[in-house]
Amino acid sequence: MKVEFNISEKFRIPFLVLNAEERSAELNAFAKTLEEFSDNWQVIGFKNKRQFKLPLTQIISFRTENKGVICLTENKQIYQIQKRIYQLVQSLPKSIFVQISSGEIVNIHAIESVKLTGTGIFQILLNNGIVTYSSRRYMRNLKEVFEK
Amino acid sequence: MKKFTTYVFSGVVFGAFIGFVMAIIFSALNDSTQFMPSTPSFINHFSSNLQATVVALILWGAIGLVFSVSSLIFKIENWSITRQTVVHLIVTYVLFTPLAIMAGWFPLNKFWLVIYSIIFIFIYLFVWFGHTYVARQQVKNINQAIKQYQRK
Repeated sequence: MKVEFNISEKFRIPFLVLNAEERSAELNAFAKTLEEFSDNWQVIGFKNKRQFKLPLTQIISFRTENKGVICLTENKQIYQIQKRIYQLVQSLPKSIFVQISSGEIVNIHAIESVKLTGTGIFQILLNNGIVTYSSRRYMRNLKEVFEK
Repeated sequence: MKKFTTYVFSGVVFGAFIGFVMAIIFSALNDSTQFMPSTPSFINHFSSNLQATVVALILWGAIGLVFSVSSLIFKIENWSITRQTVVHLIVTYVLFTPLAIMAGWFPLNKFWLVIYSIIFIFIYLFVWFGHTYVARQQVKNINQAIKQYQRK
């Protein structure tokens, strides 16, 4: 099958579109395989001893908690993640997830603004009203990510 | 741990070097033909110039160590700038002041102590203001970058 690229700044998260004459069962299966194959765009989350495949687009942040890592999704669910923060930093697309502190990675689309408190703490305000904290070391990263 | 020993080592070495250079400058400024590790009243506490210099060297190294290791306070990520600055001020004031007095850098009396403390606090106010200014600029720049990004 020939593959064409359609490059535009508005496609912040890449997606595939299958152009065809009709939607055959074969193409359906093929699409499903491709969806499952894009491993990097999903993480496995655990909740109540069950496994869930979580699309990255729905994840707001990953955070260390009690010696493990959890993630927070758009629909306010919390899942345990079996990876460590440094592993996530390596495997997740850097254009979408940015490390804001030694224990937290945030989806840049969820970031509303940054604020400096009176005592000099960097606060990161997220879209859904959540407030989290960054530190001087990671503020540099943050700026670079938004400037791309 | 390795990083900590680097700070310890470099602190002692820098302190000793700076103390030594300063002692040379003061010796020259006081028209002395020989090397004086500190004020005459300091040297008179010891039986020889050599002994005085050895003790001064130890003190200089200790002062360098204090400033070097205490700079690690500013690397404590989850502390606010204000907290870092205040703790650093307390640590350096408590440790450096007696060392400086022992090294004969200023006399031990109320007047000098007050002037010294005021200058000390002023320096820290200046440092704190500088830190928060830079941080505020950073925040301003990032918010600008975020707005531009969101507009696309």
